Amino acid sequence: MKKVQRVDMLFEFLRVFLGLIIAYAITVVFVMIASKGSMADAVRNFAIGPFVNARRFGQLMGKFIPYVLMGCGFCFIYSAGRFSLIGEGIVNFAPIITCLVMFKTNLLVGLPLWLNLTIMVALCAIIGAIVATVPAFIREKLGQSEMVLSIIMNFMLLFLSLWVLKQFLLDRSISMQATKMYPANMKFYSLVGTTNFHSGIYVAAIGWVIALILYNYTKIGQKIKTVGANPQFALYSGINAIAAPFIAQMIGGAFAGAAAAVDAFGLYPRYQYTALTNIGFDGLLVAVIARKKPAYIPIAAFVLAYIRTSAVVLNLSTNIPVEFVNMMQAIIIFFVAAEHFLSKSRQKVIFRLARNKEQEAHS
Amino acid sequence: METIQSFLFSTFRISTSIVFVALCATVSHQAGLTNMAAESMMLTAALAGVIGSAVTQNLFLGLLIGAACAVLITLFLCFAAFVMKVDLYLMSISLNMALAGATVYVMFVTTGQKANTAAYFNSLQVPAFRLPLIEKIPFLGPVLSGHNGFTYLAWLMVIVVWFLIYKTKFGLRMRAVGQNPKAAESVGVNPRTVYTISFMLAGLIASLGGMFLSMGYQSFFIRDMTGGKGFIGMAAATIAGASPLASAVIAYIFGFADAITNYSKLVITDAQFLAALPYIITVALLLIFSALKKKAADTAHRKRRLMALERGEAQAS
Amino acid sequence: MSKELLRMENITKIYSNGFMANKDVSLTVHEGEIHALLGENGAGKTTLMKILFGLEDYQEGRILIRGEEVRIANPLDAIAKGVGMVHQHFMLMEGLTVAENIVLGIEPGKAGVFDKETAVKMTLEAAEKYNLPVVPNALVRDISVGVKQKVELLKALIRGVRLLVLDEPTAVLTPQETRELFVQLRDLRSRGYGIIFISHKLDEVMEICDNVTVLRRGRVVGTGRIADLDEKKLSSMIVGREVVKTVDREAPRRGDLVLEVRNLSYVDDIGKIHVNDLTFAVHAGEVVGIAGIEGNGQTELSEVITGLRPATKGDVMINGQSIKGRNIDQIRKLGVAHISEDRLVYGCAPDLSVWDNIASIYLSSKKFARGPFLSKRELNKFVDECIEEFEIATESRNTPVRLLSGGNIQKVIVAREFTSGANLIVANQPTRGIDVGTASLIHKLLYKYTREKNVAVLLISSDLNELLNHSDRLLVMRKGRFNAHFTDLSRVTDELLGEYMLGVRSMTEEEMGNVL
Repeated sequence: MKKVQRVDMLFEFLRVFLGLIIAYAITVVFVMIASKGSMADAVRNFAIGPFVNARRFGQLMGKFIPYVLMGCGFCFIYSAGRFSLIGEGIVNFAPIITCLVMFKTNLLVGLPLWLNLTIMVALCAIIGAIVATVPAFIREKLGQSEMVLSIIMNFMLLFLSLWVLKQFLLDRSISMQATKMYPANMKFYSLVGTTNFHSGIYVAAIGWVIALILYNYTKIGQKIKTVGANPQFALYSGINAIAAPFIAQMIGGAFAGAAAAVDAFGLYPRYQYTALTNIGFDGLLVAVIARKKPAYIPIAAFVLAYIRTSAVVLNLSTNIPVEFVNMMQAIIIFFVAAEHFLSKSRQKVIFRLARNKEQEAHS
Repeated sequence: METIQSFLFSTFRISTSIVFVALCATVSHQAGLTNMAAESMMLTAALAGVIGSAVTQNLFLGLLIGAACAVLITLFLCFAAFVMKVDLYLMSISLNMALAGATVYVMFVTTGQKANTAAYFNSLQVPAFRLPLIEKIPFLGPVLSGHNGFTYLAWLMVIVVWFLIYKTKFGLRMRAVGQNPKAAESVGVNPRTVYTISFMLAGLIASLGGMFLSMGYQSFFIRDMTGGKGFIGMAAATIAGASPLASAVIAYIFGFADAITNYSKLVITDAQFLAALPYIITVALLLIFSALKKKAADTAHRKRRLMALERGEAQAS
Repeated sequence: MSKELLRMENITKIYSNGFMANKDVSLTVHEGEIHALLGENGAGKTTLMKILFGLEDYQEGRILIRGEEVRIANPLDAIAKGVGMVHQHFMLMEGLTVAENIVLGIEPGKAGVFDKETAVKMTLEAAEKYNLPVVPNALVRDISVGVKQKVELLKALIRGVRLLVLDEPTAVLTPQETRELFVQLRDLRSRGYGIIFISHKLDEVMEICDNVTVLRRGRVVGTGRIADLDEKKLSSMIVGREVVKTVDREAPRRGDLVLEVRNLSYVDDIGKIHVNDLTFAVHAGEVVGIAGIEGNGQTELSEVITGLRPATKGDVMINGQSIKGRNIDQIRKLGVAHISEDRLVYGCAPDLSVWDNIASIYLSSKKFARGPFLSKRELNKFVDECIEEFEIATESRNTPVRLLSGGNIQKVIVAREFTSGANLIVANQPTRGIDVGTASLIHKLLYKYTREKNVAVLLISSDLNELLNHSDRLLVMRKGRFNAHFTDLSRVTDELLGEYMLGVRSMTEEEMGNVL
């Protein structure tokens, strides 16, 4: 029995691992096609680019930080069997509201940095949780698709954020659409020189621990997992099958808010999002690679941050557009989420195990 | 008077791609599945059509190439979902993401540009048509005549989809599978085949919505030029409950909201708020319609229960 | 003798988990014959029919159609070979018209265009030919159950089927519709069609069938001409004479009222009445059994009591408290435990671990909780104790339940429910399809908990052996109502019980006495 369990886990791992390898290989081919200069250079840039100097590694970490938080949030939504993509819009929306507090009130002025950051992250998380209730409501109370609504809401939130930015917060002294510079006591600071590796990593670490505890050690975490694994069984066990996924989506929204905070106040000197950031979709992918388990989120987030940074490096050195990694992400999902991928080999191994066991029992 | 005319005219124009996507969603919906990948199909077709028409310098071939590429994407989606058993929604969402990237990539590889193809490709455009007799009708003439070919094709497509769903053998099979796949299978209608064909048809229709953007509304491809229209069409079909006529009507309501937005520019100078408006309206309509639907279903169930109970009591006594 | 249509010879089917569903089963049907296939639920009828339709493989035996040996690959193949089936749950598209349902898969028309008029004509012609009147353009969702059945029959007949399998065709019909169906079946018989008639209603079988085959535990226990048999003989063949009083039971010491059901009715969303004005009670320390052919409202009754379905009328009191306005969790906290008949849907989450499956009912309670947190250490200890006490064969508490055997899955469920501290256990088919060892463990536990811990048990089962040996009182349920009540089980024979279950007999309210 234990052997079967081990084979199960091994194949789960193989599927993810092989999926990543294959997707990587295909992407390298795309890089080669698009590179105008030396192919070898392009491929090398793509493979080790993110590690050649501190600045680039900082870039990687700058992506890694929000991915961890967003990925953790998706673990809850996805574990509950829901598919709300509202995180994408929250990344734009939560920080702009926080900016209103930052620039239009005196609440944060003069407070110490750590307290300000705590307040800002908490505020973003609360906004995220509130926004996430809308798709949760249409699903749990009205029985319609949370997915369609959340995607349309993402566009709504993007344009509302731009509206708030332009209406109340625009810095008219510069040509780009952005707010004024964040005050020094209201932003994350760089940990290594002037790289993107910023103190938001602490928020990510704390967030990850909170996710781990919530997911593995609390009643609500256990409820969410149970509802996601078998809604009828959850109902029969006395679990509120409306409340648990609703809360899961709010937790997801809160983590998305935190991810928004570390990205907006960590990577940039001012609020300057003018389009959707893709962090939400990336978070979904992180959760898929981590098989919905918060424990594996940092590894998955690192892998994705690495791939994304490679693309940026490549873009800088060869001008190949960053967006081509999006193709790679689809390939990863294709392999990692394909139930059929490797399922035949898995069955064969388990069958052989069962037969061996039978023979042992006979002899 | 003239303002109203040109306003209605632009409502029809703007709605064109939403109508196509709503029809695409309707076709998938009738087969019992939600098609979340319309955006990817639109983008693919939009770019492939531009490149195709530029290379061949033949409008018809260009359209054909655009449509074929969108159908190819659909085939991949079907392979992933029905053969490899990837979650359909997950695959659709990531395809949207992938094709948003892939179109930029292909544009870069072929033109060296990353924003649009305007400067590079001399692509062809579907012309506008004037309707000879209708043109003469007072008031309505200028509203209905002079539209782009795609806009008329959208009207035609409403009828075509209606015909497909309700008047053809395949339409019957599609509805059967959508309602009860097991029962359909028991009489030899293979649900997987029906899903795949209906998805390909959906992809074909969505591709027209995409090509309208790059070969009708504009004459070149701009990155991310669909801007969520795929999902608005999707929402229209959801609200309409998969009836092609109702889907089209609701798509026009959304287009109307879009047109109001455009025209409000004269009054409201706030471009960002205007940009958000169609989405706000869509979200509000989705919530309202869902609530109404739910309430109607609840009432029906309660009524049926009480009636059965009364019947039971009448029989007992 | 007329020509032979179907011969199934010595069919043996063993499922991959080792369960022998059919053993040496033979069945022959001739042209112009209505052949009854009888047996309790789980006797192997369904498996045999699935084999006939190519839905299940079989290890031994052969199938001959008109004397020719065949391998049937799938239902479509079966239809092509002339075998059609009318399922108990109709295989119809509710949103399509009658004609569309009938011609689906063989649609008339040219160039892909569906020729609706021809379809209507085909339907009308067939309807007239087989004397099965239907309205071709009506939507299926608007027609009555009886007409739906005609549509199913036409669907098979229009495809040229010569042998029809009817799975409990009268279960959903009114008496008038049943009479009408019988006229039509006799008509088909006279035209030379063969019919396999699966039913639990012996009077109907006596009325319409020519021959009968009775299955019990996967084997043929009787076959013959209906004319040579009577209802009593059939009933004893179906139920068998296997009831052995194995357990010495002390008389229960009836304690307080634990479960009280008053005038309870349950009607589902589509308006079908499952539970019709029931009143009964279960006291502490006793096991009350509910017998009945499946589908007579027992499952719905248990699901209303445990909160999975809302009562339409009437009330359920548990330990003196009404369940009205309470959710499942609150009902559980009133002292209810529930072993669901549907083990893999309601009973457990197969992908989750043994630990998760036992912890599931404590996620809203104070037990094992430190504020919002779960006390993992205490739960680990508790789960380990459960594994030991209930002899669950698992590598560890973290093993996914899907990797366990059926018996062990049931042990996980039983361990969770019995240790929940409830004083009412609603056990629906607790031992169905489970190995003898686990079954006897569960029976011992039921006895122990009633006698030592003063628990009240409501035992719903289709296994008469189980009911007669392990309950203190017995109610028989039929069509959502009780039709018998036995307080002294020593005088109850399986035949008698079978006759009540099958509706051959029924008690008046006076005869039933006090069901409270």
